[in-house]
Amino acid sequence: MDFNRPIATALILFTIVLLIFFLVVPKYNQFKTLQQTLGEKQAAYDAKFAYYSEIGTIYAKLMEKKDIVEKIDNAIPSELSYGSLVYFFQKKALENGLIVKGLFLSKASPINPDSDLREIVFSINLLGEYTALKSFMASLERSSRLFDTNNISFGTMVAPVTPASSSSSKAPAKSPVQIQIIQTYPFQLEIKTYSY
Amino acid sequence: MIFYFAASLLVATVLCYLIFILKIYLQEQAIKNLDVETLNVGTDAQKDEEKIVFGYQKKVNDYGMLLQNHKFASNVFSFLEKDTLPNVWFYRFSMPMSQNQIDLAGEAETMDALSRQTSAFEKNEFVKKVSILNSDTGVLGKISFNLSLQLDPKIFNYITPPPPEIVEEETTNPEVILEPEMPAIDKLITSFDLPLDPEVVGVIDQEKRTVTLSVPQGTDLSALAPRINLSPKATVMPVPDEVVDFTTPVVYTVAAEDGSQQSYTVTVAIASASEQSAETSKSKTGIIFAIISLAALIIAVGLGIFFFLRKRSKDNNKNNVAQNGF
Repeated sequence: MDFNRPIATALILFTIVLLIFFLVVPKYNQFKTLQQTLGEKQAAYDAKFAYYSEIGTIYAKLMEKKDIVEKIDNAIPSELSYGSLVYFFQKKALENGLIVKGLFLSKASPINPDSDLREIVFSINLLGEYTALKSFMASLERSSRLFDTNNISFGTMVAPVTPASSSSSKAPAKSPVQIQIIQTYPFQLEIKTYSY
Repeated sequence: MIFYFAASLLVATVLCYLIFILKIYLQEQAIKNLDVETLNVGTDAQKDEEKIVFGYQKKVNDYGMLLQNHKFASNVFSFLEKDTLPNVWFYRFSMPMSQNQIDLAGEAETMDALSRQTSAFEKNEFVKKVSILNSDTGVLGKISFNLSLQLDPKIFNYITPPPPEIVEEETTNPEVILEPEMPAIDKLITSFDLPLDPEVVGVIDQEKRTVTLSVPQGTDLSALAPRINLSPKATVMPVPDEVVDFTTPVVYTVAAEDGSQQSYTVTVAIASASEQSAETSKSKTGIIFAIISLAALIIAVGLGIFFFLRKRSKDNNKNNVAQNGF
């Protein structure tokens, strides 16, 4: 077959140029981009690997401080148990010489709409002496569980007996707050605690 | 000769194109595999540990927030006991904690006792304001009164020593025993993260006071804005979220509430593994290109020589035929 070789050569060279520009170079660019992506993915993989390794280290450190972790767990329990709370209030009241006349759950809702931490508010009616109330309050404040007091109120409709007329009382004759030596009082407390 | 060389070059170009297609296919497969591997990084146990760690991080934050707002209501009783005069009695007490206020109803022996009692409350550092809502002289000459005390919220932070009979050793909460009025001395960086995609978590060495981070290849180290968490009430310079140049190690100085300071050296580096892999793949690409170019050249030259020799032998045969008369 006869053909003009110079023209054929020129056509081949032209085709080569076209092929390089329209096929080889785009593929090369795609190859480079993928190579970069591969590097990034590899880095992400390594970072994730390092992340879990770090999590493992932190977890180990956390477990080393288990006593502190347990205190936080006690302060804000992961699960709410009304039964144990009611039992706790009754136990502490009795221990401190108070009688629980009434215990009502008045609120159990998240502390804010974005939080899963809930505040549980109890209204407690107690009967007893002023010193017993102080001890009870101190018990709550020293408890490993976190309790906040929203409201305290107490009193009597009857005017108190003066120290002179109460000299027969078993309480000390002189006390900084005379209210405590006279009689038992009905106390109304609003106590707040937290749970998830 | 040029024609055959050009033809060989064309073949080499097509070959080159096919090799790139093959390489791209292999790379896509490698990326897919890496994606799957990345998703599978972390065993179930590690993921459980992650949940626990983040759970406790949240709990600690919540606990800190609650402790900051925690009030010791019983402190008020000590305050009242200390400041109540002997000839004054209270028979009604109400304390709504949200208002930091105490409403009292009581009786005083004389008006003088009531005024001295009011004065005693006014002088107390924790009482901001005393209001006498009303007072009335009774039949026996005693003064019935209603008082309202506006309290300084600090009174609820102060904690008095507990009476001996109510100490509970087994349930003592050490956080409660802390003296909240003392300025905080903690000055730790508790977390140091770079909000990249994916987020880069800094490794903090509290003993050496260093923070190291490994960022993906291509990250601009000269402008990064780290997120920093500190001990409660501590401050840090440069401030969190400020854009900082991390091309060289940067010193962050954390100051506690009491004014004491300590410094952390923060080093951000391009992930070594990725750098290595990038370098490896770069050198691989160079080798591939060199091989392809060499192969194309050899093929082109070989084909050129082959066709040239073939043509030459054909020409010789033609000449022989012409000379021999066949």
